[in-house]
Amino acid sequence: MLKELNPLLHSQLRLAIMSILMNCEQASFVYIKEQTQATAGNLSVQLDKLVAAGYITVEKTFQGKKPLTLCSVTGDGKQAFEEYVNALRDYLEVK
Amino acid sequence: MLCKEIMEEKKLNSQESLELITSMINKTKRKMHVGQGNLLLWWGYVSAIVGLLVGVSLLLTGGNPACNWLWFLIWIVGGIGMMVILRKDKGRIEKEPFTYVDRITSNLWGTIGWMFALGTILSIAFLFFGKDTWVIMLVFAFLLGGFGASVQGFILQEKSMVAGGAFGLVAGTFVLCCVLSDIPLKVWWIIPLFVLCFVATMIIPGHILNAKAKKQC
Repeated sequence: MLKELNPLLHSQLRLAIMSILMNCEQASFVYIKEQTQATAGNLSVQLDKLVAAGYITVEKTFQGKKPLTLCSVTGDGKQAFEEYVNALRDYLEVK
Repeated sequence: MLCKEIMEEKKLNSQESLELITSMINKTKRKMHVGQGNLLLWWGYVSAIVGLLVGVSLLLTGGNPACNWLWFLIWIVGGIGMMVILRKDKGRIEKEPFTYVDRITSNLWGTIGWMFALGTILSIAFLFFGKDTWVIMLVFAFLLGGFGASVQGFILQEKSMVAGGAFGLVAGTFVLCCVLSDIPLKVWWIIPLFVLCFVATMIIPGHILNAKAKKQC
């Protein structure tokens, strides 16, 4: 039987965020917004959902006088992403 | 194209999910940035110039050991310049992700820096007991500099750095053998070797990295 795809990751923007963070150690809110071309509001909402699930951490800091938001993936997030990709592979093989 | 859309909370099919993951990974692939080799160039030029300065002073003063205090200029000038370069570079984190390669590189050179600091502190401490161990700093400069450059070269897949680092390691091992077998380190050969080592491990690779980054951007 095929595993159910993690509903938290099976949405376009959240999956894009996780894919970016899996590929680097830390990325800023501005960088993720540019890469995903999402609106700031939508991105914030999706980041909050990922934080609530324990998949990412968000660090709010300052760069000079400018606020800087840095996101990074957690161990749980890495595991969830790997399981999601494995489940995807199973789906595609069955097809 | 998936990535050109403004992303909503849209459900994807498995094919679209894989495409999205691939597209995001490709977009965030590590790219070189202009000035990537600046820190290497800075430390390379400072070390080489100070090395030359010490060599010339020793020759002009007939080998006055006080000239060796000039080596501290590497710490002072190099440290100040590094802080300026790092401060300028800090703004990059907003526009580019901090990758595992960045983390490894920064930790690698950080560890090497601490080794140099420890060597300096211990040499000063030994000096208080009348023991001259400054030669360890020279051996460190060759070996640790060469090791750092080689490892970074492997990480960045930059052959010139691997080759330069290997030169430093060979030179360092040679100098260490000379020290252990009581062969005197004469100014006429140790200083040119020191300068050559920094040219090979830092200056040439630094210029190559900057040129490649300029081409890529």
